[in-house]
Amino acid sequence: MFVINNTKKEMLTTLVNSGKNCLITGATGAGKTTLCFDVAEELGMNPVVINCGSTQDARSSLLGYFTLKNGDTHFEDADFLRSIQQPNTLIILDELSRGSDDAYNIIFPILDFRRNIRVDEKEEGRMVEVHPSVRFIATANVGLEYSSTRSIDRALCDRFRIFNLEYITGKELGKYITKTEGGEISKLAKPLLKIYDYSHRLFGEGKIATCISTRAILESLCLVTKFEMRDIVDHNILSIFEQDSTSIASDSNILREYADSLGVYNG
Amino acid sequence: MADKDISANEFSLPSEEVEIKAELMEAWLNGKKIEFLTPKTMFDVQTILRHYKDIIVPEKDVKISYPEDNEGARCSVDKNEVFISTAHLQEGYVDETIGHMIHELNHLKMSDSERQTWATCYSMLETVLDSIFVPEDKDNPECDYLCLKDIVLSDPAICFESLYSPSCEVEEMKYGNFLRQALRDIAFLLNAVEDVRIDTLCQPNLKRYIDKGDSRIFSQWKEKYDAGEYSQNTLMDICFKLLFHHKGYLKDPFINDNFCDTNYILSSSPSEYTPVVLETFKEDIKNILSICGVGVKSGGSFLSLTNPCDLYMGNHSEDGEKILSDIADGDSNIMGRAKSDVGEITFAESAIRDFSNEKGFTDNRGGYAFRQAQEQHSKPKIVAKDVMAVIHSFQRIKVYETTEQLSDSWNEDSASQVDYSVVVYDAL
Repeated sequence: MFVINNTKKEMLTTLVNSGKNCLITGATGAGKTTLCFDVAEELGMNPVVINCGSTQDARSSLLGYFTLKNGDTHFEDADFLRSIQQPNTLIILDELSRGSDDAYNIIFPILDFRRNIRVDEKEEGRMVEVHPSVRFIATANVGLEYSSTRSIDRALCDRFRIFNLEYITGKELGKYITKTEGGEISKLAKPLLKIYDYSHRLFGEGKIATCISTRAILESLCLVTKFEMRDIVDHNILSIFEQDSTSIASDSNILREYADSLGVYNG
Repeated sequence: MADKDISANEFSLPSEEVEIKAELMEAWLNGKKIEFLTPKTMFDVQTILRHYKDIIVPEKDVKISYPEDNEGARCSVDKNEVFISTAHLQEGYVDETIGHMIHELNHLKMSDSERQTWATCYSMLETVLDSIFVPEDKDNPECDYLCLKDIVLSDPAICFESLYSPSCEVEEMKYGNFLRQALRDIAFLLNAVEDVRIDTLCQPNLKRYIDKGDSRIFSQWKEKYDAGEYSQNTLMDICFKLLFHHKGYLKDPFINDNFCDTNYILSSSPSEYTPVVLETFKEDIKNILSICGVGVKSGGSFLSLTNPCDLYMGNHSEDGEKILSDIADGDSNIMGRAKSDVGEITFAESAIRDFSNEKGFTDNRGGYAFRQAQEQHSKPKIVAKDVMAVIHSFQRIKVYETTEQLSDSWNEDSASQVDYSVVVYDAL
């Protein structure tokens, strides 16, 4: 799920439709990729996801690689290269902030007015043109907490119109859970939603290093009818913090302190 | 990451190995046990306890200090400050220290400001004093009588502001000690009622920590009380009985007959119950002031206690200047409310002559001695600043682990995977 202002969503869709590249930023699990698929559906386009986190060998990941075919060396186009030539395709550059410099350099000319890329490895048709109906949308985590991410190059950033996907509040998430999972699950999940909200508040105030993601909450829902809330909190929700300080005053214990005030550790 | 408002003098070492009472806290430490109060543990506990402000009063910017003095827990509602003495932690009472923190933060959340309480008490004091008359010559029954109010407020330096401000040396003023202590006593009565209200209304999961401390304190009080160590029927005695009665620890006949409705306390705001409390106990307040009045006229001091500290109510702000200027600048709401709280209370005029046989103002009177006994903690050792800085630094170190794929082949399936850890020193 994702929560986005209606005007913002319409603006995003309009820009994508008119050929402008858009970048959606936000915390992990905020629904950035889901929003991209939603835009594709609304525009009637075929979404193709390119995971920028796995483009360390940029040329082979994005453009193609040599392979043996009938005893001969043959250059095989990568998914990305094929997709940009397919009409009516929405290329989703997922986790753009995890991409390598090489990857960025490859996609620069594709994203600006040139909309083409030279692939020297190809025997013919080396200059590949992006199909006029192809559109680009990207997602990125922002902030120092994302250890494998990099700050996105200013020039690359400038090729995107940026939209920030805001934090989904516990209340909004609760409504969504009631709608999708039913009232009982939503009621059982209330402590999780409160801890989730608290983690975002403290994170926003710089008191803890990271916060609980929306995805973590949604994926824990299948546990709430089978396990004690304290076990769900300790072993599932707060496990993301277990690598932090071993101090009593660790981030995970700060959240446990709050969970205790909700009665999670009673009895 | 921990909060940054940690001053260098807020750290103490236990003077000896102590038993740690932290069962409630350990339930949420993910299997960790607090076995020893090492300097690091003390620091960590104090650090994590600060976050109760994020739970109870998230909208307020609260400063939390752990002073090394023995003055117990207290807070300044006016300045959004909480003081939690290190003495209790030093003795191993971790859960009870959490209870103190919760209690004081609830004061910030729910209680009147100190200046409001003191203004009301001042108004009450004036009303009571106005009804007490003292002979000019106690050996001459035919002599003129003077109003006690005129006597004790005769010093032009005496006013609400001077009595309220702790920085003001009332000892230098005629009857200054008497008046300030009288205000404290009346305020303590109101505070006992407020403590019942805020502790009972505290959310149950946090109330457990308060109950744990109350239970121990009540046992101590009762033991001394049953042994006859405290005199009865004093204002302080009433305060403690009121507190323990409404918290369910005892069934006191006097409180039962005079002020038994706990639901009324819980459903009222301070502005609603204050006139009722003062009206209910007005004769007890007058009695105590009358007893003291004799001492005043004959030149004796009101109380031997110079600055008793509270278990339940703190001394008011040390920085009274801003508050006083606020009042001086015409904060008429405070004084208006104070007059309103006391406006309906009337006293029959009475004279005091020779109270030499009156009992009540001895060192073991009522809860005074109990309060003092609670503060008999040894002074904790203080860790050097540089040692604390090192401990502080260790607390900040966090380890993040991440996994990254490095491709050494055209074929993605054969890409090698390298795990590495990064130690990040968070210098914030």
